[in-house]
Amino acid sequence: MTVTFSEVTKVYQGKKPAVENLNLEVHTGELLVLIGPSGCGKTTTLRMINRLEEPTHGKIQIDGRDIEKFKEEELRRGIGYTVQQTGLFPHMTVKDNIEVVPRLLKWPKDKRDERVRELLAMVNMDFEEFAHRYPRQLSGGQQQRIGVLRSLAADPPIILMDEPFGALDPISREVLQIELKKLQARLQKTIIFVTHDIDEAIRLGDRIAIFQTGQLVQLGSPQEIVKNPVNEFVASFIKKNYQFETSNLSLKALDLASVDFHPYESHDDRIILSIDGSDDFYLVDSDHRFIGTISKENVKANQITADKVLQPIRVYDSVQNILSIFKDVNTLPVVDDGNKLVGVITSLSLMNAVARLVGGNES
Amino acid sequence: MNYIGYLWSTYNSQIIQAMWQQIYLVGISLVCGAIVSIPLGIYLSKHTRLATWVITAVSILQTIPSLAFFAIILPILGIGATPALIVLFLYSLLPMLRNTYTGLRSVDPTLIDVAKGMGMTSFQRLIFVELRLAAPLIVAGIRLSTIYLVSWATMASLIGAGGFGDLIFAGIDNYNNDLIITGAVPTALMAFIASMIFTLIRRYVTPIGLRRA
Amino acid sequence: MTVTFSDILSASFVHLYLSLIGTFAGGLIGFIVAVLGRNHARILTVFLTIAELIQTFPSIAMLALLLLVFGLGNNTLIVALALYGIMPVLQNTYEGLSAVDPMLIDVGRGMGMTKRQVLRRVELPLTFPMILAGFRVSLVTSIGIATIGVFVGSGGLGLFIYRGLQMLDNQIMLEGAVPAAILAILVELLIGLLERRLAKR
Ligand SMILES: Nc1ncnc2c1ncn2[C@@H]1O[C@H](COP(=O)(O)OP(=O)(O)O)[C@@H](O)[C@H]1O
Ligand SMILES: [Mg+2]
Repeated sequence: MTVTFSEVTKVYQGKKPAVENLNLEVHTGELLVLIGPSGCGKTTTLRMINRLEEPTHGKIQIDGRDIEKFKEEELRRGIGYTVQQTGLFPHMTVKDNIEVVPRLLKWPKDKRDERVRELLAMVNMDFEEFAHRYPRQLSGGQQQRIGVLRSLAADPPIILMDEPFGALDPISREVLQIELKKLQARLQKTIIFVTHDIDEAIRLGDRIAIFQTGQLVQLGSPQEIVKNPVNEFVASFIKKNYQFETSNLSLKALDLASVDFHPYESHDDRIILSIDGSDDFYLVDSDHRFIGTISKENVKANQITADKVLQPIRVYDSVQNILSIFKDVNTLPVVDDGNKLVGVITSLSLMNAVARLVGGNES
Repeated sequence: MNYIGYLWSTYNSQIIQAMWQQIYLVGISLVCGAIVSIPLGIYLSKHTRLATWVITAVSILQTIPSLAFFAIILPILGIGATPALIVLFLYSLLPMLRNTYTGLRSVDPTLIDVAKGMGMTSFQRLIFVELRLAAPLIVAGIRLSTIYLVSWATMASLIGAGGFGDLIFAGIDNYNNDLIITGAVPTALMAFIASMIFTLIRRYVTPIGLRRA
Repeated sequence: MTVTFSDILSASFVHLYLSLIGTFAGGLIGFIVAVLGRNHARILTVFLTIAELIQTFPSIAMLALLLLVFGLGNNTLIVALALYGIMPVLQNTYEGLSAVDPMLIDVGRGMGMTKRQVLRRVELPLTFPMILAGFRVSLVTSIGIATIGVFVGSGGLGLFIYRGLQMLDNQIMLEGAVPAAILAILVELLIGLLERRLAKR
C-alpha cells in the first residue's frame, strides 16, 4: 500500500510549523526511513499517518484514499505502531500484548493463539517460555521485539515505527535491526521508520528521507544520500557519523566503496554483514568495529571466526594506493579512524564510481 | 478472657446494635461516596484545568476537623442519621476522588498514546488500560475513606446517629471504664479489619505484571 | 453565657499549642527512627507497620483508651497526637533520604566528610522539604483531633463545640467550629506556601 503526503503542513498552536509543505510518496513494500535532528518533525509526520495528529493543511492518502474518510479507530487497527518506549502494557502478558489488535478486530481465540505462536517463532522466541511472561520479566531487547511483533499482529500492510531501537544498547540494537531486515524481506510491508541514527538509516532503509526543521531536504537511496548530499546540512549530518570529508575533490577510498550493508546475522556481540558485489561476509563488533572477513562457506557452517586477514584501508587512502592493493584481492574493507567499517570496495562499486565520474550521474 | 466474657454478657445487645448502626453509617456513605467520586475522578482526569481547582478545594475541605464539620452542619441539617450520612458522604468523597484522579493521571502517557494508536476507542482505553492500571491506587483511596469513615461515624453519635460512639461517650461521661473499652475496642477492630480487607483487595487488583517480586 | 473574642483567641492559642507539642513529639520520634533506620530496611518496615496501624486507629477510640491510662487532661490528648504524628514524618523522612542521589553522598564522602557530616550537610538539607510536608500533614491532623480532646478533658476550641452541643446553642458551637476549621486551613495553606517557596530554590 502506498502512503502519499500532498502539501501537508502541521502547525502546533503558537509554534513554528512542525512539518511544512510535505510532498512524499511511500511505495508499497518499501522501508522508508525518516531521519533528521531532534525536533525536525519526524514523529509528527509519522503520527499524522494514523491520525494521532491531524494535519493543518494538505492531505494524506492511503492507496489513493483520503485517510479522513476512514473511521479513526478502524484506520489505526489497520496500521502497525511501535514506539521507542516499547509501550507494552505492563499488566498484560506477552501474549495479551500481541493480541490487542486481533482482539479489537474480534478474531476467534484459536486464530489469535496460532498468530502469537507464529510471530514468536519468527524471532526465535519460544512460545512456552515467553508467551506468559510480563514485560517486566523481559530484557530491553526482548521487550522491543515484542513491541515490533505486536505491531505486526493483525498483519497490517503499513507499519509505523518511531525510533523503535533508540533506547537499546548497541548490541541489541544491531541484533534487532538484523531481525527487522529479515522480517521485512519476508513480509514486504510498507514501513515508515523514524530514527536519528544515520548508520541505522543506511542499514535498514530502502530510501531515506532527511528532514530539517519541518522540511524534507533530501529523499533517496542510502548510496545517493551518502555520495551526493544535496546541501551542507545533509553532508554535515552524514559526516558527523562517518568523520570524513566528502566534499574534497580528489577521490578517496570511501568514494569508491559500496556502503549498502545488509545485516545478516548476529552472534553474541558480533555481527555479520553482507554487501552487494561481494561473496564474502564481514564481521564487526557491537560498535561496528571491523574484526575480519568470513567466507560464505564458513558462515553457512556456523564458523564465526574471521578466516581471511584482509588489511582494511582508511577512508582517506588515495586512489593510487587502493588500486595497487586491489590488484591482489577482490574486495577491500574501508574503515574510519575509529576502525569502524564504513564501506567495502568491490569490483562493482569501483565500476559504479567510474561510471559516475564519466557520466556524472549514478547508474 | 474472663473479662471479655463479662463485657460481652453485660453489653452484648448494645454492642450488636451499635455495630449495625456503625456498619450502616459507614456502608451507605462509602457506597454513595464511591458512586459519585470515582466517576468524578475519571471526568477530572480528562479535564485537568478544572481538576486543579476541584482538587485544591477538596483538599482544603478535608483539613476541616471532623467535630467542627459536624458542628457546622448541625445548625443547617439538624440531628439524626440522615445529617450524619450527609457529612460522612461528603467526607468520604475526598480520598477516593483524589486517588482516582492521581491514579489515572499517573498512567504512563505512552501507554495511552499507543492504545490510541492501535485503534482502541476512548472507552476501551479507559477500561482495558487506564482503570486497570489505576485500580490499586483507587482501592487505596477507598481504604483510606473507609478508615476515616469508621472514625467519623463514631463521632456521629454526637448528633444522634448512634454507633459505637454511643458506648464510648456514655463511658466517658459516667466514668465507666468497661463501657469505654466496650465501645473503643470494637471500633478499632472494625477499622483494622476494613483496612486489612482493602489491603487484600488492593493486592488482588494490582496487575500481576506490576506486583513486587 | 457569651463567648468573647478574646476567649476565642486564647482558646485558639491553646489549641495550636497543644497540637504543636503533640506533633513535635511524634515528629521527633518519626524523624529519629527514620534517620537511625535509614540503612536498615527490615527494622524500618517494622516501625512503619506499627505507625501505619496507629494511623488506622479511630481517634475517639484512641483518646478513650488512653484516658484509662493517662486520666483526664491535656496529657491524654498530647500522647494521642504524638502517636498519630509519628507516621507522616517517619515516612516522608525515610522516603526523602532514600531519594537522595547516592552520587552526592559519594561526593561528600570523597571530600572527606564523615558519615555524620554527610547526613547533616547533604542528606538532611535535601530531605527538608519532604520532612516539612510530613510535618504539615501531621499538624493539620492534630488540629482536627485536638477538637475532640475536650471529651478527655483537654482545652482548646473543642470546648465551645462541646458546650454548644450540650446546650443546643448553635452560636457557641460555631464559635468553636469555625475558628478550628480556619486554623486547620491556615496551617495547611501557610506551610504549603513555605514548601513551594523552598521547592523553588
Ligand atoms: N503535541 C505537541 N504540541 C506542541 N508542539 C509539539 C507537539 N509535538 C511536537 N511538537 C513540536 O513540533 C516540532 C517537531 O516535533 P517532533 O515531530 O516530535 O520532532 P522529532 O520527532 O523529529 O524529534 C518540535 O518543535 C516539537 O516541539
Ligand atoms: Mg520524535
